[in-house]
Amino acid sequence: MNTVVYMKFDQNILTKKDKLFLKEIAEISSSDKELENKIKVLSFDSGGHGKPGRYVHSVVEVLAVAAEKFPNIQIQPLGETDFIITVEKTKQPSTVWEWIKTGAVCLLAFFGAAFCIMTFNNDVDLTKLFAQLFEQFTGEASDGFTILEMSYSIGVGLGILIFFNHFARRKISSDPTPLEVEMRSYEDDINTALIETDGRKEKS
Amino acid sequence: MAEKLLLGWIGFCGGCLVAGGVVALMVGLGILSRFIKISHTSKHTRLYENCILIGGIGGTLVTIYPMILPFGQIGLAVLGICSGIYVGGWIMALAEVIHVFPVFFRRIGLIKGTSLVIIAVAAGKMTGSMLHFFMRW
Repeated sequence: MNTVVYMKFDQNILTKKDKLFLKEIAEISSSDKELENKIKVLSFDSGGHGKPGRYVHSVVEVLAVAAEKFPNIQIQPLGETDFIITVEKTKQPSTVWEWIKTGAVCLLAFFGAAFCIMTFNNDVDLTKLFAQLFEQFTGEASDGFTILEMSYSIGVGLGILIFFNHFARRKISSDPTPLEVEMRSYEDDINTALIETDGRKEKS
Repeated sequence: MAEKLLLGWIGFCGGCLVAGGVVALMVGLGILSRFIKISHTSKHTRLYENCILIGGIGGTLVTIYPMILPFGQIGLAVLGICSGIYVGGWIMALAEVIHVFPVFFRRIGLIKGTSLVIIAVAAGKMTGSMLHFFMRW
């Protein structure tokens, strides 16, 4: 009777090294603890040869590595069938640089947003509509900057904050914010695209 | 008489299509569903649908017929705040559809302070809108 070894794979593995242990690629479990530990420390080449980047691998490659050393085991792979090893630069950029980048994007977002709302307001001719509404509500002619324009401007800012549920952090809630969900789904799309592109390359 | 009937038919058809477009945009962008989710009031969805209906008809009547609405400054303030919040959500929903933020953050490898960027956008929108009206551009 062969011992069954379970391996659960993640789609994306982040590392700084060129050679990884199998335990860093997959969650490994077996009833035979000694065998499990031996398999965990088997070496797997990321294929990057020291260069940072993304490398697509098939689960079969990992199974081959394990089967080579232990031919008499039965491996049960779970989860992804293809996975990506992302080799990062060993040197982490400094925190100061991170904040400079964030600050630059904040500036960009601020002025970009200001510019966009002005073009939007002009585009839909909000000035005219608001003047008409002001007259209908109060019976007087609008001077172009009334309570309506002011409250609308505050509302725009408030709406953006509400849309991203910015006030939820105060509450005890483990839900990811919409932006985090968005980031995650975008990453998943990229991973899928990378894996599929790689599969196409091999076939041609 | 025939011309008037035709004109009425054209107006009716146009109204139907525009209404479909407005609701499709609203649902497609998920502005209202986001607001409903935040306020945890999904059991009143039918009520919200009715509000959209009344709002749509009301807005059409108000802009097409120059009627007097005696709600004064307070009415204007309520209208301004609500329409502003709606437009703010609309802008961000559009930005979300085309993945502006994830693409940007990934390109330059931004990890820290993503919520600051959102605050910057909100502040920028507010300032820009204020300036636009105040300077009467």
